[in-house]
Amino acid sequence: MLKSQTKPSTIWLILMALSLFSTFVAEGSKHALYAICAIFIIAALKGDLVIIHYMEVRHAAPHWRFIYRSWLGVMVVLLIAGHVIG
Amino acid sequence: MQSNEVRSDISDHEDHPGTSGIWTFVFIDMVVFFLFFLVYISERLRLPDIFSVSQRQLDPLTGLASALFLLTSSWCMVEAVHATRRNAERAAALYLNLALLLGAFFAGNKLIEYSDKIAHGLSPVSNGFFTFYFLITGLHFIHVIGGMVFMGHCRMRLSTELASKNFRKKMENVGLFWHFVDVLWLFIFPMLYLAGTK
Repeated sequence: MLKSQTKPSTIWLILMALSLFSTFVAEGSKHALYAICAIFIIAALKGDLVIIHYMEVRHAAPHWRFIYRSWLGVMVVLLIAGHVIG
Repeated sequence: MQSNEVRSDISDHEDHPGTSGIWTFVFIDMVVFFLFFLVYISERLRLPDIFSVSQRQLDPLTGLASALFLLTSSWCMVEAVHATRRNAERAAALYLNLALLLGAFFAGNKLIEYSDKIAHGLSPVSNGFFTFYFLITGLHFIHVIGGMVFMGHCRMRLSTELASKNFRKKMENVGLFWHFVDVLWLFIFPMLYLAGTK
């Protein structure tokens, strides 16, 4: 678990690595279904890192943390379901 | 007396990042983009073959480059906000300049991509996928330009307003908006560029 005080540069390195990894998964994986799930879950994880560590949502009014993170959850469910059903 | 009745929320919750107005604005933007994504998915379910074939005409590496530019710009913006909080003018100026430069790289990359698509006869009216491609990335592009204008404004005011609380809040607001622009691309990138490679 990353601490909220984790250095922005460390978060940036993780975000860059996850971006490269998701591209690698999308291009290289032989299992389409797993690849689709993986790239959208990685997108949500990256979004969560940005919202927590860069937008500092933990220090904002409490309801924003719930709303913003819920949006990430809804987005990832929509995108995975939309691609898996299709 | 009337001016006291309508107060800016800048003075409220000074320990919170940004103002409540920017958190609300970003949330409204989140809802708008969610609706765009929802309609995109519903159309993709209706026309899976057209969307799959069309998506293969996008270059994942171009989308990845855009993501890396925005992520790095976002990090620079965080550092600029932190520097503003400790009144470190040179560091704030440096990081704001870098954030702007990387935003310009993103914009340049996007314009090159658009011109390439148009040169190959692909436009918003080519098919359902490219309507969404131009609409969603175009709307995001407008957000990028808007964010860069706000950052440019902060950069110009930096040396004269650095010590003021209002400027600190302004920087935090611009930062929050810029990070949200980054978060949007984190979803647009896999949805348009990566999901079609399978």
